[in-house]
Amino acid sequence: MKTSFSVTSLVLSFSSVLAAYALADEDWTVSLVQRQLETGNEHKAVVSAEGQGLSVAPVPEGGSEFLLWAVRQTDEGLEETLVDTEMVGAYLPTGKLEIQTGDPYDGPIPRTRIDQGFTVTYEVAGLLSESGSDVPLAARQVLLDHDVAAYEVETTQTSSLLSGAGTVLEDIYGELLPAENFDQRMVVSNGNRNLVFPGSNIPGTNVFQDAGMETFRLFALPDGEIAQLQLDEAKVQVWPLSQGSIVGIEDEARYTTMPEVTIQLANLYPDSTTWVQIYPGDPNPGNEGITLTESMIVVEDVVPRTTRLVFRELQNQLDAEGRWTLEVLTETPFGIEILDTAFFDVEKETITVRGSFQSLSE
Amino acid sequence: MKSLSHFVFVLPLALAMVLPVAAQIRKAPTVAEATAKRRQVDAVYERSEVRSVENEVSIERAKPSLLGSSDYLIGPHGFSLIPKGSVVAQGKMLTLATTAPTKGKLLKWEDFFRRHRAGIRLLTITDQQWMGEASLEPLRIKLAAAEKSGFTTLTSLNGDLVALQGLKKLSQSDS
Repeated sequence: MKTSFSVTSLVLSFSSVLAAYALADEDWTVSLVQRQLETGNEHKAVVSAEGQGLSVAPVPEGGSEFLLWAVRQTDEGLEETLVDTEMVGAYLPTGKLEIQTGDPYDGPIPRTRIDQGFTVTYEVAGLLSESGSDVPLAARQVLLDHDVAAYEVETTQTSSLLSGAGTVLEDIYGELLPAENFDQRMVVSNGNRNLVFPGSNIPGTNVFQDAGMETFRLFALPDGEIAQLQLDEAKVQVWPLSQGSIVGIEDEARYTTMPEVTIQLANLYPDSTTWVQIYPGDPNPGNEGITLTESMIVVEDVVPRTTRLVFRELQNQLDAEGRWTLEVLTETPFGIEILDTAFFDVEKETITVRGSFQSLSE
Repeated sequence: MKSLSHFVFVLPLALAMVLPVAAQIRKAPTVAEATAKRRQVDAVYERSEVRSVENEVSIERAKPSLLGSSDYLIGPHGFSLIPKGSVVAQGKMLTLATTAPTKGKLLKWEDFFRRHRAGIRLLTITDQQWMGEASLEPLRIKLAAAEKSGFTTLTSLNGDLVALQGLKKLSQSDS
């Protein structure tokens, strides 16, 4: 059952709408809590899982915080979910945050890659002009806080996702480590602005392994008896660069019999297609070669993946003497990139044209 | 972090041979190129209209919790979450707890009230008292009566439960 609830408060000529939210289970009890910002007085009403209406309790001039909660009883005890929050007040600034990345992923948190830029859009309204000396600081500016946190990572030896390809060293991403304060700025004017970041700001020094989360929050500053208030929050998830390595071939080496070739693939982007191609001649980025059979790896996941491919009869693809190039490519929402290249020379004994060849990735 | 889904597969030959597209192919960024893009915020903010913060503003990071900020009223037919401080007098039929009971069925307040009506009374407050625009002093006599009544008494506004900080102070000043 898709359920939703919204509430509108029309007191002191302002309104509040709590965003609709889907709760998949009918066992949830939904409550709307209204907390007065100045006094801490609290009003609680059980509401139906879907609907909208005027807030039952009036909103004082000092403002109220509305919290929409869902609670259910499980075998392990009570479970709570904060569905949505909204601030309402006569003199409270409002703020909205949104993050756009190059990945069209529509999951709960936008995601991107460590080297990719992203845009933070903030919209602030209700700030007063600085010209009046009596205007309190809280009414003149809001705080834009920027935190970064890294995922805990453990590198373990696991079986390759592809049968027969042996084991791989895979980065397993765990919980987020404690966030570190990265940056703070004051927004002093109303309006809609974009902040364009050229790359990620998560902690770490290894672009092939670092992953984490960046969190942006807008806060109304404390004012008298009113505590600091979070106006909005937006997060972006960051994954590392993918790595592809061709092992078993030495550049510019001459082969009469092709050796076993292994393609090590690490941290393939959660939305990616990776393949291996071969073509005659020197490396020429952009060249479209022959895709090696069974080398196309499609990842549709929420975390990066690591695997490897093994080719034992590569010579079956080589139908001419001379220079050949082997390339590992990956396509992500950010484009098609060459992860690794190897080039080598083939001598006559290697050429054995056949109809098919096999790899251990079957 | 557990993977919510896990879809990795190898495409069959027929499909694999047609998928490589003629889109622009470029070399993957080098370590130096990728590193150079990290943590470059000054240029980002130079172009914006935000101001630097001289002294770091401490952020309150406590997560709100309905379960943590509620009391629990427990009766023979189950228990219900109530705003902390909404009980102004305790009766014998019901038990007030600050943590969630491990036994019994969670009931919505309306259900709990209906099933335990014999042991509950509501002390109604006005919109003005809720807003802090009217004195709570007129409630002093009702509070004293509630404590002697033997009923569990809760403050209510327009039919829902409320907790008034001022009422707690009023009650404490009497004791």
